[in-house]
Amino acid sequence: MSRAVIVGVGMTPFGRHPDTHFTDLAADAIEMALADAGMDFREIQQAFCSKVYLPSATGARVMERMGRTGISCPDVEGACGAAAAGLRLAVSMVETGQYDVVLAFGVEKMPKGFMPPGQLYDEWQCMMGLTQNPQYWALNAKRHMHEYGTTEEQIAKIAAKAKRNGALNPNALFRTPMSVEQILASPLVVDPLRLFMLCSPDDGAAAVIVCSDRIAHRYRQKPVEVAACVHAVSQFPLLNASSFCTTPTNNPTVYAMAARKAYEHAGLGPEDIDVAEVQDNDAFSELEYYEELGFCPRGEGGRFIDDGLSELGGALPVNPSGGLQARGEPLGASHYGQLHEIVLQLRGQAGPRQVANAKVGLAQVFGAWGHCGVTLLKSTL
Amino acid sequence: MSATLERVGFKPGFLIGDLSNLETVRFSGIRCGDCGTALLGIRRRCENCSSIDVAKEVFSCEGTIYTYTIQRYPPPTPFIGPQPWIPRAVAWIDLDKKGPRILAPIEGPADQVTIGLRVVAQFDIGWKDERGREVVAFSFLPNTSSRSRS
Repeated sequence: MSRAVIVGVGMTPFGRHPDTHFTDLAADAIEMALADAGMDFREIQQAFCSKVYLPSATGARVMERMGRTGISCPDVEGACGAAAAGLRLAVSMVETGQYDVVLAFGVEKMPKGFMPPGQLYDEWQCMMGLTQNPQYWALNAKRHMHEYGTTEEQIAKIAAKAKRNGALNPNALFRTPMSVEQILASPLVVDPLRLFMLCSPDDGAAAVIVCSDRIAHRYRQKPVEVAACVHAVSQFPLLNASSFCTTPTNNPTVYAMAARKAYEHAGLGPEDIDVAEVQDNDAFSELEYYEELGFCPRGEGGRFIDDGLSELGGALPVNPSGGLQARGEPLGASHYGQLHEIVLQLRGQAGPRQVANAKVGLAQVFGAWGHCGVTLLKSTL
Repeated sequence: MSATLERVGFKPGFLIGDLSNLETVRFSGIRCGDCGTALLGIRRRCENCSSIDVAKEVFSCEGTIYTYTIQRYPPPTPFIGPQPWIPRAVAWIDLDKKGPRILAPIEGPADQVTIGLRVVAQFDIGWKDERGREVVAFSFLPNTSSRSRS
């Protein structure tokens, strides 16, 4: 069995690209990944295109830009976890020896504001107005505050960190630093979450090239190993996003389950993670993931940010890219955007955002109806 | 045609009773004989454990707020709310008698909603479907006859 490594990454800035067709956005990201690897597109043996809102055959349409070389390029859909599902397919094909070079990319173009609900919810949920995505995170935040004493200030600190890191990232949508006070003065959207604690759906594309470790030496970058790549749909209950019935059970959350599987597969634990990118749809969700991914005990996410542990320069920097809060979220491309950051960090190429001596990185996504992905990447040096 | 034929529940199998007499309407669903999970809607298998040992159950209309938020802006279309928008509470509610935890809008002043608040369901006509039928939907009200617990 081969080991799967990443030899090339590319991404367009995530933001507003009203005048760029989605095939051109995707092609831009793919060209950057090819240039990064020092690879010709004709070496790609298989491709997977992750997208959610774009039309049928998005991947095939992108081949029109890249050259119709006759390879397979189906679309992989899995809500905000679409790219984790796509990466897993690419990695399995390389690990099982079916192909040596597989391209995994994602692209999306999203309107401003609350996401169009029709594709993610039943009609009755839309008619009853139960479709404001941030409401699910807000409900969790309120309960967390009630049980553990988590404060609005702690949530705002995570938002301020996102803005601070995003200011260092040329690929981010929001690049203006903002103080905790400014964030707490922004309008409430769904209590306790305020406008500047939320991520905005936006446009963008990102690509990674997965290849067999046997041939990785042909390419110009130091390869980064895919130590684990887990995708799962949540067990009952679905605690977030699109659910109507969440009667408690003893099941682990999908985040904890996917993380445990990833740690086990890689022979690593949360204590080994040097840098992480997580699904901060909102500042509170990031705090929740500190706990769910095992970075700190349950109930201590607030203290984790108070102690500065997730800041750049802290013991476990989280979302050095600025995360979804700073980059926005082009759904199909989102996890590849996270991997772009982790790969740069593990190569030592993250510039002013560089985490010193980063050897192991984690990226986590979560989307509607319980799609969750956790990818662990490891420096090969 | 009788009135009942022109009304439907918001989702098949989720409500039981005479839809022409909203006083009689209740939440319906199943309870799993293997794992005990209560679920809304008539289902062939348990969503938690996939067991086919499921029995129909009518759930309590009373419950306790587990957590809540307040929608400060109107939800996206096709939802139609008051104009201008009045902030509205939305909550996860634990139905009594080990019923399911369900998501619902809470009627009344949003700033008086708290975790642990006792609430009671009310059923009403929410909208008309594409065939012109009245759709019976639900919301919850503070339950003044029942004490709070957290």
